[in-house]
Amino acid sequence: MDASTGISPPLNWRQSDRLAAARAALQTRAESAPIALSLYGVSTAYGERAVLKNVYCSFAEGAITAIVGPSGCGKSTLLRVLNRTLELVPQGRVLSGSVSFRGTALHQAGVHPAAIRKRIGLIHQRPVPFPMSILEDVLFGARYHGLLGASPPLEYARSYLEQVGLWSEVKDRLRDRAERLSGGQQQRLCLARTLANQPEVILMDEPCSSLDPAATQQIEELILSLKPRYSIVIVTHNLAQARRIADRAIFMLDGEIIEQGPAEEIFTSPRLELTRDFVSGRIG
Amino acid sequence: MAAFDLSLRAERAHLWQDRVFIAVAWSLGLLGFVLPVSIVVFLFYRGAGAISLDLLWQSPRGFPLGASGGIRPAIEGSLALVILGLAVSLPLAVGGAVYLTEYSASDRLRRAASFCAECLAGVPAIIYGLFGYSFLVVFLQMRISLLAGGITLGLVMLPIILIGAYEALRAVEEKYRETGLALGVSRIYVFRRNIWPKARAGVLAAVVLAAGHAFGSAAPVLLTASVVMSKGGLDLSSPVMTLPTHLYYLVSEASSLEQAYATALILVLLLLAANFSVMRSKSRRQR
Repeated sequence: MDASTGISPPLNWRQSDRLAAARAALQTRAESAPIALSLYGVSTAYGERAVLKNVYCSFAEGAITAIVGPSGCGKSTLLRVLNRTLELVPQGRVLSGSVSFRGTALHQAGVHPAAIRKRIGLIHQRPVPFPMSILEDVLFGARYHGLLGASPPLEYARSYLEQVGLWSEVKDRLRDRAERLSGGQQQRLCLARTLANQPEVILMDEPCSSLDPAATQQIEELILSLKPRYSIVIVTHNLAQARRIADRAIFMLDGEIIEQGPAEEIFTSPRLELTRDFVSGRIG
Repeated sequence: MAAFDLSLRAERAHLWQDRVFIAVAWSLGLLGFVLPVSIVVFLFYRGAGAISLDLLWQSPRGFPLGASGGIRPAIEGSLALVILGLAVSLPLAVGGAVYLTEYSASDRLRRAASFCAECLAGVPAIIYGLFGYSFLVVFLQMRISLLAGGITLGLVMLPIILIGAYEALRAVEEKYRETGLALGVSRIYVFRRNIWPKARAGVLAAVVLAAGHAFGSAAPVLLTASVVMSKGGLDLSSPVMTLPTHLYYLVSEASSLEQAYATALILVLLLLAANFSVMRSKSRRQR
């Protein structure tokens, strides 16, 4: 391990110098960006089993932040703390610490979890089409929150189905049951449903893990197209995917955050050996 | 030489085990099919001759009573009792099941409640009858009446519907609740739009099972609601005739066996009709 990290050919030194300069620039830009969500010393548990251990981290506005790490390291739990869906998991609870969303503490008294979940949407690992038509599925949350206003339901649904590139595929079968769509279509439908809810932040829990490469590519392009309008946090164990789409990255291990920073830096020249071992595939 | 014994010889013992298993499974399955069919066929054979419009539309007459005439008051009484019983048990049982699956956070409460419901479902029907008699009829002074019988039947149905509805609601995967709630909507909204459409068929099946059970049982109404003879007409504070108790009187007093078979046939046909209509509406929904 030491041998491989210690010895580098001279050519790479020069390259990495240039990279370091670029990185420094990137980092200042990223670090000075406004923060959407931050965690202060958050610890969580399922029953008696501790998951997150005193986690401090932050998520920039208008950026894609990838959370990477081996299975069971607490990535999904971290995501669920951010919109208070952790408490929907049996026995899941926050033990200590606080989460701040644009300056508001999410777990304080008087904050209703439903209000947070509306503003911070969550895309699950496996798409969950609801037992209703495609049209009604897209409008599920929007109807409840009264977001349709005066616009006809069909037009409202259409704009979100177009955003996820599903409109042309389903426009003739909007009354069909949502369960009949293919896996990739279902995941885009779930994304449309969340977008139709008009969130400000979108959390994604390994959204491509049950999809084939073509569908994965579609979702990735979609995520990049959403970046200008939303702050996005994506959990993935696909390092190549994180590298392709993320602006910032957080590396987790055993419920702790090992390193966080601009994605470029995490993936090409991490400060810590543990991170280097993970991104080079030696652990994971 | 082959390294493995690929001949059937090694498999022969297993083949025999398989054949025996298939034969036993088939004969038991056949028995399950033949028994109910032969009951219905037998009832048709003995009772179909006595079925007429008069039987369905008239009151019992003759001596001993019921030897001639019809069973209309008994059909009316039984239907009224079951409807009243459903009015009592349906909201309680379905409401309880919804609370347990959708709202209660305590696993211990859920287990305790379903244990109690299972115990209740196992209580013999005559115990319900005795309870209804001593508590409703005597203590609350309802006298032997449609009301007392209806409430007693409601108690008989309550655990059956509660258990069935609870199982049907629990069978809806958790992801529908979690994903729904993650959109920031209320629990009742998730229930109405995601959970109920998936559980409806199962809940309905439990209701029909319970109603059929109540419709056909004599013991709970014997001491709380039924009389040998009424002229028809329904009144909450008056007793009624019921199909199962009428059948019991006809047979025990040997009034008319033909009438008894015809009554039994009508009882069974009404139950089958209820079951079929639910099955049809269920399969229509699934399409």
